[in-house]
Amino acid sequence: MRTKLLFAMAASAAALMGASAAQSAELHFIRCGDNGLDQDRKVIAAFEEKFPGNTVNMESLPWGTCQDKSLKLASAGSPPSVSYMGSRTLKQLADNNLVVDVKISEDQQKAYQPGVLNTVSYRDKFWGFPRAFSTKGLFLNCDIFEEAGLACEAPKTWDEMYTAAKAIKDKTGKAGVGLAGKDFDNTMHQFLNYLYSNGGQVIDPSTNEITLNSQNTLETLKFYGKLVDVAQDGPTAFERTQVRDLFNDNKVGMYIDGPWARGQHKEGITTKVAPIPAGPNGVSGTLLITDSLAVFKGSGHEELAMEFARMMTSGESQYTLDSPDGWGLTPILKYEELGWEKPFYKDDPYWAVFVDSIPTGGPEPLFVDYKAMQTTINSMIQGIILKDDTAENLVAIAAEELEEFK
Amino acid sequence: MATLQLQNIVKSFGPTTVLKDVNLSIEDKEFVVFVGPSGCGKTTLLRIVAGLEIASEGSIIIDGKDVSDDHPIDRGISMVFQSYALYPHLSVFENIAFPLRVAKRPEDEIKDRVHKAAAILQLEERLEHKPGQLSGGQRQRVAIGRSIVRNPKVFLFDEPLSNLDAALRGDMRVELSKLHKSLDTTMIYVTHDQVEAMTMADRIVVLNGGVVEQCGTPMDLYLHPRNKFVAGFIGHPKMNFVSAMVSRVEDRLLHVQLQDGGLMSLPVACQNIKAGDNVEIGIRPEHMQLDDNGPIAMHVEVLERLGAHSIAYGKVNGDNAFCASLPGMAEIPEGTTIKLNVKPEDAYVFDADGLAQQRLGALELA
Amino acid sequence: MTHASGDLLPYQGERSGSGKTKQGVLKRVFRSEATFAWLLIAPAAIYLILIVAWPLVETIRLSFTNANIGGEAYIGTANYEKLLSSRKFSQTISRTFYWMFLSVSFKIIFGLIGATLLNAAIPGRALFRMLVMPPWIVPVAIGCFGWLWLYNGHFGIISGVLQYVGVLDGPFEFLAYKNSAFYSAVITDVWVGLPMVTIFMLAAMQGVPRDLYEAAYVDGASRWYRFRRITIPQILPVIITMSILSVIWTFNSFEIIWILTEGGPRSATTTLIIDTYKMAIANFKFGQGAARAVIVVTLLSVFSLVYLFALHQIKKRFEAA
Ligand SMILES: Nc1ncnc2c1ncn2[C@@H]1O[C@H](COP(=O)(O)OP(=O)(O)OP(=O)(O)O)[C@@H](O)[C@H]1O
Ligand SMILES: [Mg+2]
Repeated sequence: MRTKLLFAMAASAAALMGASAAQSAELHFIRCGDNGLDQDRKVIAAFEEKFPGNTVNMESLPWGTCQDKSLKLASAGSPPSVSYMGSRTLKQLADNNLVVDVKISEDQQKAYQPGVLNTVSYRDKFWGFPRAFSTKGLFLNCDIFEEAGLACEAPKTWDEMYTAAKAIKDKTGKAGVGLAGKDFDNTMHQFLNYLYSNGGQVIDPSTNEITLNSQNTLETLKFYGKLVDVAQDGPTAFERTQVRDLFNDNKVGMYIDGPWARGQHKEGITTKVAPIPAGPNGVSGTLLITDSLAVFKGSGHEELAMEFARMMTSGESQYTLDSPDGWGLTPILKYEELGWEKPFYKDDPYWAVFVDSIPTGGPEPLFVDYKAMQTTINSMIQGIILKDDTAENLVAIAAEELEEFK
Repeated sequence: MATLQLQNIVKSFGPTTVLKDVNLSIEDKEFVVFVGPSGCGKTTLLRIVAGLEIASEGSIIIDGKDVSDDHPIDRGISMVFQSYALYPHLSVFENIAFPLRVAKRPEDEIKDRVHKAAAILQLEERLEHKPGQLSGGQRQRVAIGRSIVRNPKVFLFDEPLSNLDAALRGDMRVELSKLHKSLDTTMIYVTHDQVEAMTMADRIVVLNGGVVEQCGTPMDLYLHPRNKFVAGFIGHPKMNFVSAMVSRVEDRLLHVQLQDGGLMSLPVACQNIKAGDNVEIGIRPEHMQLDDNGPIAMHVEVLERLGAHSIAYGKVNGDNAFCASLPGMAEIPEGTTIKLNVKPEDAYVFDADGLAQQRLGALELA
Repeated sequence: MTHASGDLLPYQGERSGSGKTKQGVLKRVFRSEATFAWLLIAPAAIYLILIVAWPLVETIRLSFTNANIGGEAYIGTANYEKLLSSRKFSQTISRTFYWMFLSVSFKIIFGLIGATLLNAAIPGRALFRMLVMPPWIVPVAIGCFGWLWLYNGHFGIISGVLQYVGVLDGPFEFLAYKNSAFYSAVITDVWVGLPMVTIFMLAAMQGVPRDLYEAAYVDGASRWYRFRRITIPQILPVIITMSILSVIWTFNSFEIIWILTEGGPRSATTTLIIDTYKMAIANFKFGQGAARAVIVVTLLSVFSLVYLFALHQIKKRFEAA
């Protein structure tokens, strides 16, 4: 763990090499999953043509390990040049001097969907190129609604949602709603969808104040407590994909998922998607999550790496990733303003749910110790699910703990 | 006070029959020794008596009561195992006290009886030791102590001395004989060592291949073995056998010609033997005398001089192993041939089936 | 005595003279027995230093720093103070001991019962002996995924059967609630550890001389009496050894909990090892993780000392037997 020493050695070595080998860098690019490899190769080919003599060594790792690998390489002093990271980690990376801030042109800044850049901003700088974007919607299993004698109509408010879920539970014995409650990222994500739909917030990005301990959070948590009674048994054993399995198995009436879910629902069940229902103190909102390409400090060719990341995240390359042919995500750029005649989400009611909610959405809270923050929030959520404590206490304890991690 | 009868005992393990119709009657306070070669079924028979093994057929009667299906404790027996079967984790005291603790005797009584047993066996100094700290002989005594505290009617010993060295074995033989006298109970003792049998037994039961070959007092077996097996088994060194041909049968005298030509006239009463039959003459090594005119020519290969007597091992008739025990320190160079003689009344005669002929000379001696 | 011994030793050095040649140097080096011994031990010693001592020292050093992903700085005993004043940590410690206590007791008790049954002359016991093996042979991770499925409330067999027979009126997620998750993890841990304990106890029971039982039987001892006064004391060394080894294994048991619950829900299954892993590896807080690791090592050392002491006592008890 002589991180500093190693780091210093690596940096000086890089400086030495930088002088003589500026024209022939080998970029180390770490990406996640095996979807869209060909598209990335095309961009790499274009990059290598534009900057002759330079090459990109692409390492494609499974979702579960790609980010940790980059972190480990960075803390060992041999960082990748560019790496796919959840934007939530950028604050920690920036604070620990592991990534460089990236320059995004005015034009490009305007092209991003609202809120997207917030997810990579910290101390008035951008710490990564937004790469993948998602918003969430409430999916309904119309077959179960029908079975419960309900019209398959999207609940607009929490009260409506609870009423529908309770009716399903009472009439069919099935879970009205599917809740994720495992100590996993999507447990917190799911909760934030409700919190943002009730005007709540975890931290104020502009002042870095913890704002969790509010009436809005309290109401949200209490609503969660109510939902538990009409949800599947044992939410704390579930993460989102497992809830989706129940949904597919006709065991759950409603659940929250991203735009990709459509492709993962079983054929033959009738589904409907709707915006997240609004809480008593807010309007329907959503969690805006982005992943980014971060440029690590100390590779010795940060400028070149930034150039590569920029190519990856703009224009045709980015569109291909967002489109259903790619990863099928909420569009990260306003493609209609960038000259696309009819981008994939245009005039499609399914996509409207995910695109129209962007302006009222909120970002993933940025914390220096993101993991600890997630554990704290999840513990609060699990606390209400398991009826361990009152909502008031749980919120107060969580808010206090968060102070340490901002 | 206990008598014991074994009636028609048969024991089979699967297809192999180990004991074949054993009948035996043991008197009160008798010291009976089962001897026989390894694997002949001695242990099995003892275990059947103990109740550790169930006989396939037949019954065991103790004091007139059929106990064939009774638990060992109800038979009033106790057993000393060949391996001693001491509990290594218990002290000598607790080992001896074990049967009393099982019987839930009061603490005072246990102490009293253990100390009494220890006194008899000279173990008082060792009561707090663990078996691992004892010598072989001491362990043996602990095992005996454990069997006597219960005051059983019948003691069973399975080769209790076989793990001891020769000297200790000799001492323990004497001790056991004394113990038998002082306890004054019935004892059954298994060994394959005929010396133990001869020295300790009131009565010896010779087992062979699961059948009782003969049963009688030690001298009975020595003087009047029923057959060649018993004759060969009892006595040390073993009896010699030489083949001979009957030349003439008289009323109380048998004339034979040995294989190498020597002639002998033996005082036996014959049954079913006629001139021309082949018989075997049994001669105990201790009955040999050097005699230049003797009928037996022995080629000496090894001479063991033990002081009181010397034992010559060699061959007769070419390759027939032979042994002679001669008084004093005989001066016989190894590799020479000596002539031996035996008193006619000391010889044994066995017919072709190995059955002994009645010895007339010995009868008078007995 | 002393004056004679010099004459008896064949080689006392003074006589061999020239120590200037290479050979002479070597000779001199090897002549000293201590030096030679050290040369022989050296490779093992170096190995031990590299594999054991160095990481240990490094861990102890790290525990006095705030090492994390961005670097490290010396912070004195702050990590330890934080741990000692943390209610969560003291809960983790008592939970760990409770976890150990339950799991080890069950392993030993069921191991004893299992070994006794397997040792009894029952028909088909060879088959039963083979049936005990799978949890031991199957890789722990695979076994745990099996249990994960068993404990699943909506698709799993236990919940399914209990619903079918009417004990439950709906799905029950065993791993979703604090108590049920904890005891489920205990059961799986026992399942994984039991065969080994059983097999060792069985081996020990088979090593008890048969005639000890026969002697006791002849003396009228009942089955239970024989078990109590012969079997138990005879296999006591194995019982104690297995208990202490189980304590160490259970204390260190990581995969089972990690696969089943990852320490949740709400830390209900977070043992010291899980806590350490989460802190150091999953959250990149090397300093705080190291402080926990030091506590782990300390406790393990205590267990090991107890083990060595117990072994010594046993040896004394059974002296040369
Ligand atoms: N449990 C058993 N199963 C099968 N065969 C057995 C069993 N016990 C004994 N036998 C066989 O019965 C025969 C007699 O055994 P036993 O132990 O009675 O001999 P022994 O006369 O005591 O021999 P030794 O002098 O060697 O102790 C042997 O051939 C032995 O193999
Ligand atoms: Mg025997």
